[in-house]
This record gives sequence, C-alpha cells and structure tokens, in this order.
Amino acid sequence: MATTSFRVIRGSATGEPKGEPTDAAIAESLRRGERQAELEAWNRFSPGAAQTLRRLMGPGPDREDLLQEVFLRFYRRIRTLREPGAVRGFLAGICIRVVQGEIASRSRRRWLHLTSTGDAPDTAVPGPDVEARDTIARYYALLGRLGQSERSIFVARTIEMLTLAEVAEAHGISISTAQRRLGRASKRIAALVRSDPALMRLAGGDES
Amino acid sequence: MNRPNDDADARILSALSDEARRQAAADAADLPRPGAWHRLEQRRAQPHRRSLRWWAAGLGLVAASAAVVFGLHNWRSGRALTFDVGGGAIVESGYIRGAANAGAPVQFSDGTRIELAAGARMSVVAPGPHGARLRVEEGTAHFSVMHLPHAAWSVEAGPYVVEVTGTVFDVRWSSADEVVEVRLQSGSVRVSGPLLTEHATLRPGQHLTAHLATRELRIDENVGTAIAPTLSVPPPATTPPEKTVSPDATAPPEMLAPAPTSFAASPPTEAPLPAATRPPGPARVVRKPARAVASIGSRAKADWAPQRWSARVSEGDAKGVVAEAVAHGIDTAVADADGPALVALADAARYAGRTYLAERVLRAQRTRFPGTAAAGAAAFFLGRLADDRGAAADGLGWYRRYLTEEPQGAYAAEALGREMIGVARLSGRPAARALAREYLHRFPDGTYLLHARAILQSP
Repeated sequence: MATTSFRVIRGSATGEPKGEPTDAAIAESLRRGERQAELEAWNRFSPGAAQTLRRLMGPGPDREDLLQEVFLRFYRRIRTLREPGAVRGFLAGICIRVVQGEIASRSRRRWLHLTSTGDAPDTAVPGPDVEARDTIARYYALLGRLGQSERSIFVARTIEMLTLAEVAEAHGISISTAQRRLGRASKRIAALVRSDPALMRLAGGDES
Repeated sequence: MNRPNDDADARILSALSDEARRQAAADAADLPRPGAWHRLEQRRAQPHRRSLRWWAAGLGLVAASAAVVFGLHNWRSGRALTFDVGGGAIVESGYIRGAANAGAPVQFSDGTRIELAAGARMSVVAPGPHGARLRVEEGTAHFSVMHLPHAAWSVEAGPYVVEVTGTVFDVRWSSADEVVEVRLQSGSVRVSGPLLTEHATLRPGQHLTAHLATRELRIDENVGTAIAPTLSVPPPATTPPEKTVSPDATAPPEMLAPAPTSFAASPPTEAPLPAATRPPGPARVVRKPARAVASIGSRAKADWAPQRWSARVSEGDAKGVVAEAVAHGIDTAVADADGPALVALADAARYAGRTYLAERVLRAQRTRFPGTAAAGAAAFFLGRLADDRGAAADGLGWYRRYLTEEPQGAYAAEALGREMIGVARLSGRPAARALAREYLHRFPDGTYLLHARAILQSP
C-alpha cells in the first residue's frame, strides 16, 4: 500500500548521511532564525515538497514558482509551528493551501478567458507512457469539476494519502466535515470515471 | 444501469490514484531542478510585491475597509516590526549607515533601541513580528532589546551570530581586523561562530572577543561599564588580569580546557586548568591554529591513530595510505581513525583517484566531527567530487553548505567561484548575478574574477 504524504516526504532520498540534524532540530533552528537552517531545510524537505505539489496539481509543467511559494511561506510561518517534530505535516499543509490558491487562480483565469484551459501558458512536459499520462490528465480534469474545497480534500486523501485527521487539519475543518465532503466528492468522481471508458480501462474496471 | 457499490468505486479510485502517484513520482524525481535554491534566494531578496490584477482593483476599496475594521489587531500582532532611524543616517532597504562623525539611533516599534556608533553600519536583514535579524556590517552598536514574549532577535557580526531575548549588550565587528566583540550588560545572549564548538552563553558582565586572524577567542569578566560607542579591542598580551571565571561558566567546556587532541599540527599554546580548579587570574583564552578543529579530541573516539599518514600523503604516498586503510578494513578505519588520520585518508583517497572512498571518508568526517572546520572542509571537497563526476547540482548544494558553515574558510573563494559558475551553467547567467556580485565584493582579486565580470555584463 502506498504511504501517506508525510511518509513520502520522510522517505525522500535526499542523500543525507546519518548524523545530520533531525527534522525537529532543523525546525528548531529555523524558529530561532538561524540562517544556516534555511538551506538545511531546503535540502531536506524540498524534494518531498516538490513531489507533494506534483501529486496535488497533477500532470503539467514543472511549477518551481509554487515550490518557491511554499518555502517562502514556510520560512515566514515557521515560528507558528507548535511541535517541531511535525514540521513535515506543517509543510504539507502549506503545500495544500498553495495549490488551493493556484487552482482558484486558474479558475479565475479560465473565467476571464485569459487562456483556454486556465493554465498558465507554459510548455507541456513530454514523456513516455503517453496514453497513461493522457488518461491521468483526464482524471485530474474530472477532479477539476469538483468544487475547490472538495477537490482539495479528495486529492489530499486519495492521492496524497493523508489521514482524515490530517486532511481536516490542513483544511481547517472538523474530521466529520472532511469525511462528509470526501464521501460526496468520491461518489461524484466515481460516477464521472465510470462514464469515461479510458479511465475505466486504466483503473482495470469493467468499461461496459 | 446497475448502481456500482462503494467497494467497486473505492477500487477504481484507488487504482487511478495509484497511477497518478506513480506518474507524479516519475515526473518529480529530479525536482527541484538545479539552481532552484538560488532562484528562491533571488526571489526572497526582491522586495515583497504583490501584483494586483485589474479585477482586484474593484475589490481593493472593500478589502481596505475590511482591513481597517477587522485587521487592526492582526496588523499589530502579526506584521513585521517597523523602525525609525535618527541622527541623519542613510537608510536604504534596511541598510543603515550612520554619519561619519555622529551616531545613529534606531528605534523599533516594539521598544527595542539600537545606538549605532559613529561610522557604524548595520543592516536590518529580516524584520519579523517579534524581532529581527540584524547584521552589524562594520563598527559598534549598542542594543537594548525589549524583553517581550516570543521575542526573537539575532545579530550577525562577521561570521558570528548573537541570539538574543531581552538584553542590553554591545556588538562590534571590524572586517578589516577580523575582530568581533560582544559585551553583555544584562540578560543573556548566545554566541555562535568560528572557534566555538557549539555556542557560548554569556552572562552579564562578560565580554567575548574573537580575533579571527590569530584564531584567538577570549571571554573576560567585564572590566568596566558599557562602552558602546568606544569599544576597543585590547591587545591580547596587554589585557589586564580579570576576575575569576566561575566554575559554572556557561561557555562550552572546551573553552575552559581545550582538548589535548586536535587537528592542529601543534597543540594549543595554552592549556588552562579545568574550571573547577582554576585559580583567580587571567581570563579564559582559547588559541586555535589555522587548521584547528574545535574540540575534535573531545568528540573523537581515537581508538586508532595511524602514524604519519598526513606526512605520507604530503610525500606522495597516497596509494600506500589507502592500501593501509584497506588492509585495516575500510569500515573499521573510517569508524575508528582519529581526526587527523581521517583527513589524511580523505586526501589520500582523492589523490589516488578513489573517489567513492573519498566521499565515504568525507561524509564520515562530517558525521563524526560535526560543527568542526574539518567537517566544513569536507563539505567543500564533497562538492568538488560531485562536480567532477558531473553531479553539478549536488556540487552546488555542498558548496553552499560549506559557505554557510565556513563563510571565512580557506576554501571560501574557491567554493563561491565554483558555485557561481555552476549556477550560471545550470540556470543561466541571470541566476548567477547575485553570486557574481558577492564574489567581486569579497574576492576582488580572485581567480574567478573574469567569470564574475562576464556574468554581470551579460544581458
């Protein structure tokens, strides 16, 4: 079974040798305003954060601007972190909020017809496995038909694999509210997926 | 149409989500891209500017009204402190330069006050809601920091950082003499930087002086009252005897009794008695030669101290040293060799072209002796090795780490130059401009001078 977002970030292969400071120690240093810790935090956390952003956003070009935004907020807000050991969860929450903002911004661009898709006009990423990629792009397009909050909750739970409690905390809602919205979103997405033969093929379901 | 059950839905969504995760992992495997840290730093260096789109203009008035009504409290508690500068000082983007013949008062909105001595320069690097990161660029500054909940102030002076809560103290930094002084009047501060293994917590009345050029650091009991505007550095030889240092002095133990083992070719010139038995007399003095590594002897498990490895490497017998380490067992050698032998083994491995072994030994150097100059140097060599094997992005990370840990280190010019070129190569010359400017400022006669100029002159 895949791991949760937090575990994914923890498991990111940053090549840190044993004996390097712990996550909590880095967070403590950041809270004390030690500049050296900023680079340490970047080296330790940025690969995981980049993956989290990619999972939350879906296929598309590399969005380094979003990663920058995540770390700008992270450095600005690190003093509000109550438990240094929870720094990765703290960072995941920031990723979620940055992506929520980006999705909202994309919706505004689409509404304003600045671009046809609402995406910023960047170069698409070419890659192998074109059919599967195209299908997953369609999957994310379906997710885009959810409301902003429901999309974020659904992606955080099913793709980012946060626990329900983590999802609720990241979105500032109660667990029961998160569960209710997640259930609603899941039903809607499942219905949409069932009407898309390509998605059903990829999911290994019966497309008939 | 049959109504699909929840389990089937869950399986479908799970399969699609798994595939989405797999693709994301593949796409983001190489992220962040090389040079991303530098681009982030560039963005942070730019003044924070929130671009307003036309559609937001209509909402601006409403938002402003709401901010006035609802946001006053947040503004007061969450926004960065502000400051005013008097005395005709010049202020630009947080950089404060006092007049040559008069001091300049800097008053922060939380009540903290700083008096810059005549000719002193200071930067307010990062103001926050509960404090600020300040840098004494040159000269003397007297600080009266308000003791408030969550206060977070730090003062950088050269390579030293003074962490503050609520305190009155003086800081002096002379870049020309490479001397830093911290004199504490009340409260407490924590000083970290070169020559200090961990950090030194000063008590009221204590006075820390570090002469980087001579690798000398002393902590004296106060010889008089605060002398903010006229702090002077007494020559070490003429410093009068000070009061006894109490046994419970809060400075690290190695400052009281330098460890007998050191990376230095020669032992410390002074080896004071342990604090508990020290008689009244001169203040604590720590002298460290240029290649000294703070307290490495006290940290190292010197189970094995191979003889003459350093000399043999100097004589060109790198392969012989590597062979001896292999014969001993690499795992054991890396784990047990004392500090000087580990450095020699890393050098030998590099010279012998055993890059994998060299990396392993250098990483051990960092793991076993963290915070030492040897660990810093290891970061630089790890960067070079990464560069050599084509992992330029890894190299950049190590160079930056070295420059952060050893900003005045022996390889600082080389590390900065290599970092500048690496960033230019990976991310384009515009991304390397800040580094080029820094290089020209710090090393105007450096070997990467032409590269730096070319980067700055390119469009």
